[in-house]
Amino acid sequence: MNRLYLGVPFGIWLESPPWLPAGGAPGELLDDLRLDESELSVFLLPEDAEPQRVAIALAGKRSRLEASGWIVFDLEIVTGLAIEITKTKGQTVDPVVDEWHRDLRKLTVNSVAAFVHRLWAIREKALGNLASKEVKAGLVNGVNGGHLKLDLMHQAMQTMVKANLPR
Amino acid sequence: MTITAARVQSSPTRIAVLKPSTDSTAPARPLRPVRPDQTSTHDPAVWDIVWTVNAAKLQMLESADEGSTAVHVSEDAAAKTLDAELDHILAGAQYEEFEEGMSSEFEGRLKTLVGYYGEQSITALHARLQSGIKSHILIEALGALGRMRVRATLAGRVAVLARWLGNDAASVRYAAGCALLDLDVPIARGFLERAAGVEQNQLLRESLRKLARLVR
Repeated sequence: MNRLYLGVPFGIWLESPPWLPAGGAPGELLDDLRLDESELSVFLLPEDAEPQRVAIALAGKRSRLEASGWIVFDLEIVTGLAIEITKTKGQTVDPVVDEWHRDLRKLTVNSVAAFVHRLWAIREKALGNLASKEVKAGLVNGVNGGHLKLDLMHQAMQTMVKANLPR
Repeated sequence: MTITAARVQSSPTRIAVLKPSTDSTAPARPLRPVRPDQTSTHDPAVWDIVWTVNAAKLQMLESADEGSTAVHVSEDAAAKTLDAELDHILAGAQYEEFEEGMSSEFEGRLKTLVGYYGEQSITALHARLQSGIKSHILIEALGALGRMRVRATLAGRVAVLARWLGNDAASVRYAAGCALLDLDVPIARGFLERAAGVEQNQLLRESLRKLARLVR
């Protein structure tokens, strides 16, 4: 199965608000998608890949250590909605993860709404998260193990990793 | 927060003792702004020193009038200043977009405020967060409380975050749980375990259990 990774704020996706009609999805989910020029970043996970690796690769670019959430879903959700998907190089701190990067392109209000709606319906089995301490350990271990690029990290993360690398 | 019962003595080492009202979750502390690096929450001897220093500052800043009225006016003024600064920070937050993993101006301002006012700012913030604030601002504020390293306010921050673990919204409970982990203190584990024990949302229950395991 081809799986896609999309970063989402885990807490917001945890429950349906009481006012939500059956089969609906909360509108605030759209806020957090952060479309750029009607495109959305996702990652195509190889068969043996863990979503945690993407979460850590993305966290290296951020300015503060924080829990990280995601939803993993079947590529068929995208193709079924006729959403264009294109391979583009990612900009994470993990060169391997960069190769997994894809853009969902030419998104419309309708296609985004339908896409989010489908994800919301499967979220209970598809959500995942890393706590801040797990992110920290992943970044330090990744640099120590050589698969994360320290020089590509945000300055704050570089400082944190350097302070925690084994001497 | 309602400030009550200012007690004034003639000695400059004990100018005012202030007690927050009973609905406060944070321990009582002098209202005077206190630099966090001057304090230790658990050491009364240190508080004596802090109060002495503050009393000296107070005498310099206030009028020669030794009467309690002057002290009351000063305490009220400090509380109003804190409230006004908090209002300003929260108003600004309404126009800021928060992004997971990215520092925010709101967090920076909160840290500065807490660093300056100490425990009183935690109590004031907690009260303000309960007054119908937007959930994304609330979540950002809880995260900030977990990440800040103002030792003197630790007890208050633990109390506030533990309280928000019982909120109706799962997103808020999750944010409070993450923030408790970020405090990096063993006492957080008990709060997280108890919250996990009563959590109805399965995903959140598992997350809270994981957070509890990760506490050192």
